[in-house]
Amino acid sequence: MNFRRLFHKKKSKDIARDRLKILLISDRLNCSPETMELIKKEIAQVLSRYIQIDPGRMEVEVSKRKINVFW
Amino acid sequence: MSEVIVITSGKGGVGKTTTTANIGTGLAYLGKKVVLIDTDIGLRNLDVVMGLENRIVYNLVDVVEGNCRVKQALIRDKRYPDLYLLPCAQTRDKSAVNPEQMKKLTMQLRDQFDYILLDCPAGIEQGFQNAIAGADRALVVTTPEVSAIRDADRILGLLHAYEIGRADLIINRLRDDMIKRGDMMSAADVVDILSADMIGCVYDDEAVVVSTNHGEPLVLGDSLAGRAYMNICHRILGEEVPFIDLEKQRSVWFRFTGLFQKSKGGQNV
Repeated sequence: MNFRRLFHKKKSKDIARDRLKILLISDRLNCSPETMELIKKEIAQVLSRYIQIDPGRMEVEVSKRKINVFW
Repeated sequence: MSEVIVITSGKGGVGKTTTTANIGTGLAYLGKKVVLIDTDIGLRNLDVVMGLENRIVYNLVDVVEGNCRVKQALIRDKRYPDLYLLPCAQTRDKSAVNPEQMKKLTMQLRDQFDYILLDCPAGIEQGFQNAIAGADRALVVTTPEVSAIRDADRILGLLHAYEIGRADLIINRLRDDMIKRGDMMSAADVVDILSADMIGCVYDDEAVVVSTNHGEPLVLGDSLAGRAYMNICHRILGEEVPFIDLEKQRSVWFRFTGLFQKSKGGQNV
């Protein structure tokens, strides 16, 4: 994936998909992207107290009924 | 068993009316008794798409207000004797009808018809509430664009909240050339984002405009969009019609075998 990213400009459909994913989460949870960013930051803070993580690389995925955290 | 199906989208101009006209005609062709109800009071269009605009005497508001009997307002289609249209009023607004009245009307029509299709107006206000009031299931029409998908997500949420039993996606106006270039989301992308079931995808087809010009639904013709709508009709009847992966069709092997299959209509949509 990273290899491809080096040589290809991001396709517009990928931009659309990424934007939609964020948009729909904030629509569904009825909270703004800024609030989501805050939630993400706090999760990172809590996690880093107990385990070693790189907050910059942490990703949070929200769907209708679950939240996944990757680091 | 009759079924009341609402065709909705949230966003305007994605193809609700065209979808309603074609699915209705397709189901009538397959031998079902069908009535199409235009619920877009003040902005009626289903009559022109069906080519029945010159036959309107009474409309939905007349029926609800008791100015006429339901039978008097139903317009029989010029092609199929078991296909009817109930047009709506052009000079009134959405508040002329309420959800209770719509529920009563659909209950009344269940005795006479196998399928009652409701063409829903754009938006989520009263017109939408009226259209979904008596519905058993919904077809949510969307296009592979951010605005339409966002609205579809909102509509799916509302349908769930109003306890509409089932909602399936129809992804309209897909363009294979743009998908290949990476400039348009594929049907699979849209399904993934909305996490809903898809009942059909319709490729962008000039034949849609031509058929609307004539006031003749294209579901019976051999156009790409026409075949897609017919497949949706079969799926509504509960038949399994496979979606062929278009990705797969582009692989070298399929390109090769596709040379021989072209006449059979390789794209199953």
